Amino acid sequence: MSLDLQSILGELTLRRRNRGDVMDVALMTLVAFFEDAAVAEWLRDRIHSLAVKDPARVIVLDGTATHELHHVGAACDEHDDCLKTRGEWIELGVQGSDPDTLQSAISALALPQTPIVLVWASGRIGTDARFAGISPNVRTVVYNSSALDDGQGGLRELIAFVQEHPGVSICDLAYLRLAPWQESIALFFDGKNVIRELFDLRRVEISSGSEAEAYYLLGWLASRLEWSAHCADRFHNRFGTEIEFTISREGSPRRIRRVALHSSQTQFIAELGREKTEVIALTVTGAAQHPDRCHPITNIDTAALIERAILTGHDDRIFHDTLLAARDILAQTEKVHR
Amino acid sequence: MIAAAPPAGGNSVNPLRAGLPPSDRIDAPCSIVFFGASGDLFKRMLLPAVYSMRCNGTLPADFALVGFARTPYDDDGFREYCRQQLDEFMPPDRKPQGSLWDDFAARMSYITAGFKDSQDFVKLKALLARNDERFGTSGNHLFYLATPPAVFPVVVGHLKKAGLDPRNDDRGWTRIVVEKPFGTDLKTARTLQREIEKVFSESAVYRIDHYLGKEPVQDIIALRFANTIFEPIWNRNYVQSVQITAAESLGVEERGAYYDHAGALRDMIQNHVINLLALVAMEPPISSHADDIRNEKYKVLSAIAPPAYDDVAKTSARGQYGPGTIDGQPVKGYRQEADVAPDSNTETFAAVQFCVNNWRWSGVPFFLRSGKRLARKLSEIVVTFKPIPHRFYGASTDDIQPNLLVIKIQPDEGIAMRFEAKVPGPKDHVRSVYMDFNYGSGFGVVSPPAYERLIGDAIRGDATLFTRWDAVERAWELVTPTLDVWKNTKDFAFPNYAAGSQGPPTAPALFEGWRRL
Repeated sequence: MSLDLQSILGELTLRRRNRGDVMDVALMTLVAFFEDAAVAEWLRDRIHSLAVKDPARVIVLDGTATHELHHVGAACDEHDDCLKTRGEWIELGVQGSDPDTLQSAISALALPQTPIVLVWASGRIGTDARFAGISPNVRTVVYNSSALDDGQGGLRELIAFVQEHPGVSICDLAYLRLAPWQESIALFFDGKNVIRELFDLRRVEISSGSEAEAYYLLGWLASRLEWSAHCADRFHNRFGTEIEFTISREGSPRRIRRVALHSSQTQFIAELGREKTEVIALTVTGAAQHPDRCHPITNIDTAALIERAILTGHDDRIFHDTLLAARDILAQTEKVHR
Repeated sequence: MIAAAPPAGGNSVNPLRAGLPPSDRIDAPCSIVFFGASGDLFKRMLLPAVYSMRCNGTLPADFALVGFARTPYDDDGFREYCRQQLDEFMPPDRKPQGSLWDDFAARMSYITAGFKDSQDFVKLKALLARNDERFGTSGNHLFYLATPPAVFPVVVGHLKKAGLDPRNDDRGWTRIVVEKPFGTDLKTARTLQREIEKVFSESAVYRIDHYLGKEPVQDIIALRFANTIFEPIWNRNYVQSVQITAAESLGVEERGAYYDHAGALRDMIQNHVINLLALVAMEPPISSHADDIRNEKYKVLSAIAPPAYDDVAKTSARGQYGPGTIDGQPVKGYRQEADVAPDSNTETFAAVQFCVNNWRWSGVPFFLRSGKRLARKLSEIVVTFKPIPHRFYGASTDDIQPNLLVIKIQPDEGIAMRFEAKVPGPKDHVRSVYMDFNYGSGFGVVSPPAYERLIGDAIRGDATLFTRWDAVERAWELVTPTLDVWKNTKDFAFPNYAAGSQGPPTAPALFEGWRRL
């Protein structure tokens, strides 16, 4: 099957010449793919928010619609009682399209001078030939391992894909979502009087609404502190000391609820604030006691995360190390299930 | 992977910090003391900036805020006062509420004090020590002088007597932020500096010029040094002139008493506008380190010769607004404003010409102007390039204009470029067209208020956007002859421009090419 790209290109040219509502600045070509009708509205809304903030040519590849669907419009922003063009919006029905067709559509429609960002809102990336075909040709792939699956499935798919395709620049929103938690946990151990506690940790407890975020957080700690996954609920640090860990499913999907770190003499607890969820309350009790603090959770909506992925997600060594550590932890849990 | 091992000796590197996604949060814990915390600047600008930083997650998690002013409050009263101000001045999504506000409020305290009693500073010292215990502020103190300038040396002297001066040890840092104006002339600025440097070394003094915290001002450095296309033509070979405008449509509002002793040259040109000139004209710094940039700014100011007293009339123009109309509304003349002398000789408009006597800029005039009650609020820098050397294209009636690069600072923020383009059709007509980049449409975000950036930088210890003493002193030296001549010669033409107009008729005599406001 083929796509009618010429008529779309013709419409784009006409809009630029005649309607005067063309964008004056473009930062990227933003390609979004989905094939589950349930996520369509959600994805469009998030992409629209992003395009309003960062003007882009948006190409929505709608895997639920046939090739008859195509539409050229504008991502608009209401500004001073008038609509102001913030980007171009192209919708294409791509149900049943093969990888080459999708790739040629992206090549033909992308703005020539801007980087291409692919937001992939579909599962099974480990075995999807379309994803494998498109992803090496874009600057950044944005994936969300906890979007369609609140268990380990999405994360396992990502790990398998990255092992097979190490050259693809890929970011996972589930990992980027952890930034305020990473910041809060790092904050516990700033200062020469408390740093020793970091190397004396004995137990880690994570409560989370989805598993990908919890495994990422564990993987991040393990990779930073040179812990190796020893069995399904234990790490060993480099001196052979055991660190026990537990993950419990609690709270809203895709959100961490509580992280507790225990050293032999001190407890470090980061948890969502009581009445609101936009604050992480930080408590330290025991030998290294510290006055209570809090840290606001900001910019973790999907549009903000995608923006961060675009700005900072390339060749993120820490993410790569975290992913490898998460892989090792999951491998241990797999052994138990077998 | 990085090596993670129990730290030996004094090693306190946190391996969890390595490679963390960039965070705006400031690491250093600290107590911020606002002298003048019941004043207008605190409630309108400083408090909202600090609370906004709290909401953004920029403020250190371990912090405390101390108000120090004459108006009597206890701690709870001050918290309630601050909550009311934030209710008024913060946007709807940032109102003081919830656990973030509770935490913020718990970290606030207040000392009711005049600035003359040294016992009040002893109390402050005890309070800061308590903050270190209660809030983990680690002995780091940022003192912010938001008081009338006359009080600056008094506060600084008391800080030393109370033992709150910088200690130069590992028990924490001490810095001081000094609001403008830094002196009222060269002599008073030097006197103030002498008082400050008795207590604080230059590296601990942060002289604030909020203009430098504005995004488009910072973007001057990005425009010049993060692009290759501008720097090769950024010199006397291609640039005809540079004009810098800071125009306001507002009058003196409630500041008549202050302004009548200041005037436009002191209030705007000596600090904001000369700072812009320095950023536009400086040589490329070797790094973005504060002192590398500030060295270049000072060097370029040093290359400007102050006008000889006899030349002041030729290199400057002054004006004072009379009654007029702005936005369809009649407005008073300057001499009718509250707290202004009815025969005031104070200028509300100032324009000066400077020449930068160095290899890059020799012969290129820099025109600076600033005024109140002008046709509209507009701050911009306009670089006018030289005309084409040989004309062969276009009809003889076509008015081929030189290229312009406009750096828009406020109210629009962005960059515009004027160039000539062929008018479509069979004839070879040309017309000027503008490429216009606006931050609003380019990035779709609202620039953070300048004070947020600057307070954050002061806590971080990054002095890049603060003015070093040598540059402040040099700026006073540059305007001193004009100030002296204007002070000693009454302008009998005052008021010489109508409110809402383009300024006084003497300004075009200085420079015919002023951009229309």
